[in-house]
Amino acid sequence: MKLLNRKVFRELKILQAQTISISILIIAGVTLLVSSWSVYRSLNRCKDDYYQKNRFADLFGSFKSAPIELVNRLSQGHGIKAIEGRLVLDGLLSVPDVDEPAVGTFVSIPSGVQPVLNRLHIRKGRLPVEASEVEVVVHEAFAIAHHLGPGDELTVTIQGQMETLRIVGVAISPEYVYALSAQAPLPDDLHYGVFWIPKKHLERLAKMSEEMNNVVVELDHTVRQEEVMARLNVLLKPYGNREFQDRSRQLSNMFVEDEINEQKTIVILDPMIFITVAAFLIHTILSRLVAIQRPQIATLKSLGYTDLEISGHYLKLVFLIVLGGSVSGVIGGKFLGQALLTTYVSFFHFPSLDFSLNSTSVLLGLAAGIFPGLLGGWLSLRKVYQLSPVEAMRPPTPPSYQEGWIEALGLWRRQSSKQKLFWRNLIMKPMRLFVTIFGISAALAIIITANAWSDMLYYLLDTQFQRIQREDMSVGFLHPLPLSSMRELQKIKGVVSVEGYRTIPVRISFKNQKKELQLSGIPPDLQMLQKLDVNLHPIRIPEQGLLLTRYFEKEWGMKAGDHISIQTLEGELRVVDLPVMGFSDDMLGVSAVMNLDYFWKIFHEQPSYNVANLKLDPLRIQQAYIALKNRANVYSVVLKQQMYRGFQRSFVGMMKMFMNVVIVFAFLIAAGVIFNSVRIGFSEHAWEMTSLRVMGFEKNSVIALLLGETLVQMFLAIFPGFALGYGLVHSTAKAVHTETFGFPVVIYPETYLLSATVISLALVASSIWIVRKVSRMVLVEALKFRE
Amino acid sequence: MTRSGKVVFSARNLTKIYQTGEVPVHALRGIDLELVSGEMVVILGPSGSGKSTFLNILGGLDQPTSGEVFYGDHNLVTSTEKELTAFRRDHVGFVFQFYNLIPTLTAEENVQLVTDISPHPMQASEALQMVGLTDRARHFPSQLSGGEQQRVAIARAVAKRPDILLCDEPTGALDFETGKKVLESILRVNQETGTLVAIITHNAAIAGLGDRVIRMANGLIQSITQNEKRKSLEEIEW
Ligand SMILES: Nc1ncnc2c1ncn2[C@@H]1O[C@H](COP(=O)(O)OP(=O)(O)OP(=O)(O)O)[C@@H](O)[C@H]1O
Ligand SMILES: [Mg+2]
Repeated sequence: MKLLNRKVFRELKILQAQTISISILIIAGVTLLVSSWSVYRSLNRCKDDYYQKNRFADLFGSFKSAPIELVNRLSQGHGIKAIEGRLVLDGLLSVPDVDEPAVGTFVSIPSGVQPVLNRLHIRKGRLPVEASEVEVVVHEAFAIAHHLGPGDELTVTIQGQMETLRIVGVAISPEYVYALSAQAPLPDDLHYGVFWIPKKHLERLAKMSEEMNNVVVELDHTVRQEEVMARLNVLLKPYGNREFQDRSRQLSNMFVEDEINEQKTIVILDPMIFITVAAFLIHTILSRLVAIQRPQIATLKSLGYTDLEISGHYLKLVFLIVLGGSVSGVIGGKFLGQALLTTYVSFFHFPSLDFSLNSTSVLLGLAAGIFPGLLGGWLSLRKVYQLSPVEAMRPPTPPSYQEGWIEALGLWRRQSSKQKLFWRNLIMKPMRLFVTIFGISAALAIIITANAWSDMLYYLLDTQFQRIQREDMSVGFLHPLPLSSMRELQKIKGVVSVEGYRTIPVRISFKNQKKELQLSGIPPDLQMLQKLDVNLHPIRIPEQGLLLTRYFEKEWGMKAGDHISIQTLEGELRVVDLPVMGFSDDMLGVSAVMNLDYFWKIFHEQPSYNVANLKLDPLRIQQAYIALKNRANVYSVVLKQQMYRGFQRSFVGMMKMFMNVVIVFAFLIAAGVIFNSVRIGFSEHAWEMTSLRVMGFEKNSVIALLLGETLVQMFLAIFPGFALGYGLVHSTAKAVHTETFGFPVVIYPETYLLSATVISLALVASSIWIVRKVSRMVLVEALKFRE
Repeated sequence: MTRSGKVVFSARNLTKIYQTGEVPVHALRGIDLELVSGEMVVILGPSGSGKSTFLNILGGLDQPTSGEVFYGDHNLVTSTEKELTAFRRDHVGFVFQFYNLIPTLTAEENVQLVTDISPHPMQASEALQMVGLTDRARHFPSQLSGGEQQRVAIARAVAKRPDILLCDEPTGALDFETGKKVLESILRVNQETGTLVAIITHNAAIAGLGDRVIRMANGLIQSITQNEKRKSLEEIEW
């Protein structure tokens, strides 16, 4: 056995190139797996630590207003560990460095001390205290977007009252890891921010002294959460309660969990592909090795080595390769994970993002790297068992070849024998051909999936902001306005056209499911807001009933014709039962839409609007902006273009980073597969090719023969590769369908082109190798041995 | 030299030194030889005496370390790689100990591989007929016996109507009867087409078949024997 061990190392050296390319595949797969899994675990752990340390509440309730003393009564029930009443109000901000107004959510906290729940993590400065100046702490995301810090000032309008705020600190909070407004489905830090302000000041601004409109609750988990919620709901009902929500419905937390889970879904598939391909390659290469070494194996057998010893020898070879790959992969995963996590710091507003390589991801990586390879190797060793020791004594028999279906074609006869040689080599080993095609297809597919994410995101944002929302600016009003008010807006300099509609926050319920969203009543001829179907054709708003986002059809199992219950959350409380008429394919968030006339009728309203969509003169946008934000009753002004860019910055940027890593790895897999196929093809035919050279064939025609084979394999792989890529994109896109993103399955032609280009590059690299190899072929030596 | 004929090959002071190991191996130490058209030469010698090395240089597969080889008035030593390829394609036929057939091509197609690229080849069927394998034309190598495979290799070598046929232990892997059949094919080529044939063998019995017998040892030609009368295949035994 000692000698066999030496043989293992000699062979590793001979198979150097293949060893390296298999190792790269395994390293790539394990690196991706370990890094993404540990990033996923690290994010989860950081989140849990943060939530616990800063006492993130379990229940969240908001209502119109209630006396502050009510907190005592609320806290008396079982199951409550801590409860805190607060004021939470929105105001319109004007920030010194930008003309556009932004919306701020103001959360009251005690003067100079931390709140009991949802404690702040101060990044800069200090907590605000009640003083003559109105001190606030600003959320980090908003502070970064506007370059704000302690000492800066800004102006806020809360309920028509202007006030100057002095920033004394920058903070983050478990309640607002993402600063999300109820209106927008995605964080938009330029136009939305969260502020913490001493309670007395907010009471004064809101004219709500000794009152609260929001409570947060920490549970002691002695009683079921639902019971506590039910009791609180009853107690708060007289105060215009909106029903309590648990963490699973809390906006920021929902978003955080979605983001973390997406990490997991997206990245599980690709490493699997890498490792499968590596296993296939190991199988091919080892089968080849065993075939070459038949005489050696037979000789070993005749010397008295057992099958087990011999196959153990080959497995040792495989084991060394996969072990090396897996260990390097784990190390690579640690570094990649750390790097990825560092780029996520600006995205997840956590106190700290500590990377930890936990033992499960190490074990997972090692197992995923080692076992498939060993299996692939083991399966190719059956030949060892079948081989009889007598073979060693026999002259080598040429591999058998039978006339096949291609021969039956009439065309065949007219081919030159060189062409015949070419085609027969190609199809002589169908399993090999299949593995190569599979490998190349997999590489294509990985590149496609990696790139498809930005395709989809681009398509999604483009559709949302160019096709669905067609306005330049959207203005929200505090109170609904009569129709005639639109004519006034039209008069503002820079405004080209105006369209008004109506929105109201509602809670919809269907079977056991509930969700809060904006219900819009829109005129059927509205130009600047359109609902689209899958093919992006505008849907006519039905005269009666509701048009909902397809999310509800897919995730809630709703059908056209079903009735759902709608409860208004603003103004007079109304509950109505309405039929669903159809579904629209929205890209961002979920919506419910109905005909405006129908809206007024259902809610017994006089005709009015509370949102205006504007088309602007591109040269006068700034002017119109300033004019609008200074109008009374204006609650929000959103410039679409800016929102669009903001989303692109944060999301596309983050996704690109990760996907670039995947693309690099995909290139490696493509190069690995193609190189191996060329390499094996060469060693398999080297001897034939030498014979051809001896007979007087030109170098070039020998090279053409070898490369032609790979080229054909590549062509055969392109369409399966595209199809596999599409399939993977389809299934992952489905898996990450969230309330925020209705990921459409879109792959741009450029993505297919890119993948084909990457593959071609790998082919070019392999070709260079082949050309060098053929040029160096030593004719005399090759003829000495049968192999 | 009794058989008068045109000199086809002439080698002068041919040496070949392999520098692979620590000690240089002198495979050829100075060979002088002329081969004449139409003759049949048998090369004998112990293993490692440089037979294959010499033949490979004659066939344009390898280059000597020093000395000259002329094919007609064409100097093979100064030839480019491209010229050597053309030389092999147009003038030389090789037969090796291991038949070196392409497993994925039938017997006939293996022959066509050569007829496709030669300037004035014979029909593949004609070549197969010469080696007596007309009825096996559509068989793949794996469906042929060793002797049959070797005869296909001969057919492949002669189909281009080479000026010289170089055979390196063509019967080395074959039994007596099969070997005879192979030799018969080679002799027939020599007699019917007047091709110059050089055969390397370890089998001294074969020596009687040639016009001349060249014995090599230690990288040198030890002796050249002229056979007064070539023996026929029936007369030899081993
Ligand atoms: N590529 C090589 N590298 C180093 N030495 C070589 C090489 N090829 C041949 N030799 C040496 O050159 C010498 C002559 O070899 P050659 O193959 O010509 O012998 P041969 O007479 O054909 O022997 P055999 O009858 O065994 O085939 C031998 O000593 C051999 O070891
Ligand atoms: Mg030899």
